[in-house]
Amino acid sequence: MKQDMKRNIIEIINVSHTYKSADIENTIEALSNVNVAIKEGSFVVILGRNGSGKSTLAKLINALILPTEGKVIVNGMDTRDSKYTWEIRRTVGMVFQNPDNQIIGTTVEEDVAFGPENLGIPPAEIVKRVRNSLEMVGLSEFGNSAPHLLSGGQKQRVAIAGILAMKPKCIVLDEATSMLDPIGRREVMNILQKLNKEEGITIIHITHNMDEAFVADRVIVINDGMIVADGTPKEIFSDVDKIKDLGLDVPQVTELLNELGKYGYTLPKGILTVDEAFDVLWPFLMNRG
Amino acid sequence: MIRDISLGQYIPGNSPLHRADPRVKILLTILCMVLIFLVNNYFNFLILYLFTGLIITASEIPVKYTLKGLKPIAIIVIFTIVINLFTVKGTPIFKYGPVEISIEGIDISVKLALRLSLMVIITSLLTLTTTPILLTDALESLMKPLKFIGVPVHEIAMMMTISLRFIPTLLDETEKIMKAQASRGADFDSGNLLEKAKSFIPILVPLFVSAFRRADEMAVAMEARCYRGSEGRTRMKQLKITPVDYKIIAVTLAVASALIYLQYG
Amino acid sequence: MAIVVENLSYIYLKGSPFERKALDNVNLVINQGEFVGIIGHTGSGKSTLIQHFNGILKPTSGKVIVDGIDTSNKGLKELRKKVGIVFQYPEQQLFEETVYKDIAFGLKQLNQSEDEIDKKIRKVIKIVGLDEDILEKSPFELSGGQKRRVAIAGILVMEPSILVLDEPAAGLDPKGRNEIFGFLQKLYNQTKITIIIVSHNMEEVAKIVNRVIVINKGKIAMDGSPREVFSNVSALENIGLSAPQITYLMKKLKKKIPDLRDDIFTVEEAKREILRYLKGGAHD
Repeated sequence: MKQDMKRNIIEIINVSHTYKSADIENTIEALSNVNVAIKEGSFVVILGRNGSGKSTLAKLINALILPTEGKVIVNGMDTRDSKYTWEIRRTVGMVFQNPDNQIIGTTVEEDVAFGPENLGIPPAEIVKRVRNSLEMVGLSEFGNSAPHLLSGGQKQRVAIAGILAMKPKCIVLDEATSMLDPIGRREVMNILQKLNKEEGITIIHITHNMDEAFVADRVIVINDGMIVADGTPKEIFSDVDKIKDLGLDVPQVTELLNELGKYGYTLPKGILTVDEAFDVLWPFLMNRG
Repeated sequence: MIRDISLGQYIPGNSPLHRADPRVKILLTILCMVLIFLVNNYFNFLILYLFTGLIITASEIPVKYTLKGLKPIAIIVIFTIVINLFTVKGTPIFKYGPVEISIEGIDISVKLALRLSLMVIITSLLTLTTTPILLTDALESLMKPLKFIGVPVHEIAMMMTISLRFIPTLLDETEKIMKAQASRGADFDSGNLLEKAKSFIPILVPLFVSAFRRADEMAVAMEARCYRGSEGRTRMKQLKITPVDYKIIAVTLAVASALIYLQYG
Repeated sequence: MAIVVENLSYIYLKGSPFERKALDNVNLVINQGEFVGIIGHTGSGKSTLIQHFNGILKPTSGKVIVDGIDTSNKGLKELRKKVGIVFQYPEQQLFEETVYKDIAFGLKQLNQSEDEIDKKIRKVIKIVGLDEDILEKSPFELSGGQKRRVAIAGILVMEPSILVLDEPAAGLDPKGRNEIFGFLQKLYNQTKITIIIVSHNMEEVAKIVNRVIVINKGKIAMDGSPREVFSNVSALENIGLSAPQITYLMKKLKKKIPDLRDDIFTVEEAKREILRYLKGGAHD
């Protein structure tokens, strides 16, 4: 298992992607020469503003679009080779932004079964998978509920269960929390952490919400179709001014320490949580600087 | 509220009728329709109504729900009764100027009313005890033979499923857009017919835009979940005939034979 | 021009098996010129409450009186002009061929002259921070943030004296969100119209409003200045909400350093307080 952790599940090599349009003026280069490899079992957060190209990246990984230049390798399979398309989509599941537009079934159970049904899994096995998947996302009691009566967070958990039932190695979430309230967000984030730790599923979570970046092993920041920062959450949020320039947020405590730094006090960078900030500030204040 | 329509007619329950195979229910409903038209004397109508009463009891559904369906068709029933009452010629029992009512007219009208009401009650029993998704599954299963003559049975069933899934979402959305436009001063009630029709543009355009966007996103989401038509596809829910079905079939067939014997024997 | 809510209750789907009490005997007065943040969970009743302010929803019992007009009465055209409600994801209501026509929709309903409408549109497009050349574009070719601002302009153009916004920044990225909150703040400072924002984002709300109302299970749970509401962290947490992150840090520090203030909810305030302490100064 240790060795497996080091294997790249996704490799994006020299990828550029252009959305073609009839008139040249509207041709948009969404990604330009992106290189990135993602290790199996990692939890990666991709941060970026709307229109930065992060959704394009997500669709490339799932073979929903093919790169104009370069290649995308998923678990050793090139997305350009159409004989791998279905295997790639089974390996990498996708959760989309709008919870209402990805639930196909008229009951929760039916919806979770949709993926395995497409894969031609025998009915008895589907029943088992549906039960297990719903349990993993904590919705065992909702099997017969109508999706439109669930909360946003619950709907996204149904979508995650629908992917789990296909036994994926990796889940890509394309702004899947952006339409949720704080409770719904927390629900989804908790499930993602659990799946990553307990099931070893690689998580690629695309968001513009910085709170969700702390739990990641690695944060990649995209701007104008290019990777502009890549590192641990601590490293990324060390440069407060850069992150703010990119139109993204930093945690309040991070910003506070950064502001105090401007008054000539030397304080550590990349502080993200209340506890970390307290541990730094308390001795600092006791000594009055 | 629009939402209560969206909940559909289905009333959750665990009665024998709820548990029965939807295919059996559909076929037996069709059989009942045939019986309703075969039966032609009042004693047999009485038997049919008693039988329907029995089904309602077995379904454990409050009678008022089963009769709810009669309201919207009341006008049609009354209209046809009136037409028949005055146009059917026969032994007159009432005459006033050119208006004439005959015994035969009354007979035909009453029977027609009895038939229409019974049809509505029995079909509502089907939809009250069966979820839309099961109905779709059953139709897909029953229509399977049509595949061989080129009917896209799976695609039709998938379309029905997705429509069922989206009806409540789009109804919610309509309500939301109406509220938003009303807040901008839109008026849906006053004016003549043309003005009224025009006032719905601010609702219809956003609704269509949104429906197309949803359809688009839905198609991508389905593709991402490996959907590629009916080929190689399995179903989680297998429709199965159980002992409940045999009992229901037996009772219905017994009543049907008795009625046919009484009517033609 | 005050909003007076008296014993307001609202029940969804009354008489059906799905009956649900959304508002339970709410009493509330919002005065002219207040900048109010309404916070609460999804389903707490906050959206139901604001939809009573222009008579889109009618009370099941109780009364809502806006500027002396009872919203249960008929003829609410006048009221809708006074109270502008911007719903969640308002860009979903855009429908005209051009931005100009879409913004004009509300004014056309009020039969205003073309000149008047034109003047107002050019004014409002600046308020929401967009260029005039966007007016001739189709609303459907704009970016998400631009669409949102056009939709808000469609309400603002009617010059309401009470502006209500339900989650105005939902789904936007931080920059888009800052733009929206930025022009709302400016609008408030310049015109002093009443603004009511429904939001999940405590940190954003804390920064700009001068009164916070917390709704929980159809009732008003807390009501006061941001300072009063956010310093009562335990009460907020009891209903599953939280204070801004910075408040937690200051509370924790105060336990060790009693001289520090902990009724703080913005970074700016925290910075000033810590600098004051470091220089050994007294409280402001």
